[in-house]
Amino acid sequence: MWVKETLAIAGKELRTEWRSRVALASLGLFVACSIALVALSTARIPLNGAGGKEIGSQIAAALIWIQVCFASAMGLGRAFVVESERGTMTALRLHARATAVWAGKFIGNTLLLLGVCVITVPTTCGVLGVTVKHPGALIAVVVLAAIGMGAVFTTTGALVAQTSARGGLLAALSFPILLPAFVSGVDGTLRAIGWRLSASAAFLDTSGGILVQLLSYAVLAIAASLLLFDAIWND
Amino acid sequence: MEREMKPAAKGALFVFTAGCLSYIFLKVPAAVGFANPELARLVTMHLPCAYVALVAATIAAWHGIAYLRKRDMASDIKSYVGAKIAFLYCFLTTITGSMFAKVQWGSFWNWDPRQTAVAVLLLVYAAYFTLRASIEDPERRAALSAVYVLFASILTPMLGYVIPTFFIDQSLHPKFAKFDVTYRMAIYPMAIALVWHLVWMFRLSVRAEKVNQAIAELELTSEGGMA
Repeated sequence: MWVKETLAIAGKELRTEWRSRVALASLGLFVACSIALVALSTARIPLNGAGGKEIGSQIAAALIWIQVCFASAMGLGRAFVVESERGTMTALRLHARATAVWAGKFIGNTLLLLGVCVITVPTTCGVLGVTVKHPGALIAVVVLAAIGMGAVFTTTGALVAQTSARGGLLAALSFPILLPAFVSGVDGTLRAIGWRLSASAAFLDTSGGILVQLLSYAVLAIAASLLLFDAIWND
Repeated sequence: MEREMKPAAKGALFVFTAGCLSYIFLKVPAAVGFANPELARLVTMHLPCAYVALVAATIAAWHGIAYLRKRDMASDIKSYVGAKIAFLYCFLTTITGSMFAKVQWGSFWNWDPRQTAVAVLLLVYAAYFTLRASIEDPERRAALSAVYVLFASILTPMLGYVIPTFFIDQSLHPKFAKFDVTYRMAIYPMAIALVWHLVWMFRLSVRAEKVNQAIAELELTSEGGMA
């Protein structure tokens, strides 16, 4: 029953987003503009030499997560604001449990966030000429970080939807809490790219701890959200 | 109303704090092994501030839970006051830590994981105050603030304790610090003195906040009457 409610809400999220494409358009445009800015601003930095490759991988790891964070702050806050604007909050309260609403919105937000990562990560690496030595590890880092970030943005998005100042508040509330995931995400991306690791070194042997950090953060964020969401939703 | 601290207790707090400070300035020896051994005494102020910040953050989270369970506005006021004191002591921890870093390691800021964690806590409490300011309805403000302070309290220890202790090998802070007995004799009593100050400040601030809220309610009622 709970799973059915959750999947129904996740399906509704994706369908309504596909019909209006508001978040998709704003996220897509933001990602395209930020990649163009990265390409233009790094065009004069010589990244082809041995030293340049190292600088390129460091810039790539930082830029990927900066783009993902700001894109999320732009697009993911809408999930609950839309319900509040359309006056559909009461209907949702009647038809589903609070935790099912949160879980459905979380699935929708995380899929959107993963979509942003699918465009941002390969394009930024391509623009900066970075070769990824451990692609499987990079995928694991991105997926785990996106799950943790999706959980935080869904909960803070629900908080912000109940306030009068929606614009910048989502970023202000989310970024300090997201910092552990951001730090581990940048660190994991650097190591998956192969920065200061020999090509033969196994990722799990040298950097498995980062995946544990990201997994623990995601589990904590989901558990805390499920525990506290009832107080936001039924208030 | 929170009880006011009795004059005898205030006197005892003054004498105890003066005793702790006298011990720090007159008896604690310079710490051998540091770049500036004389100024290593700063740690006897820095560490107690960090402990008190942690106690105040726990008070904010504890009363946040109490509000969500009982929906009692007094718990919201206590959680808010706890957050204000946590913000103050996070600021003092950052200032004393930066002074220590400058004299011992040559730079005010080193992006050390624990330094960053305290700065993040400052940002979390700043965001908490912004959230409170953006909600007018007192009950909704209390519920949403309690949720945010609890959400942050569950996730930020990852950055402040778990990652630096178990996953990062290179840090300017020791993982499990072992202090000489003279330093322990300064740090722990100073921490007790500051926690005692916290109790005093907490009671005073809760009373002041209750008066503020009563005045705000009276103003609202009189505005309603005028209309």
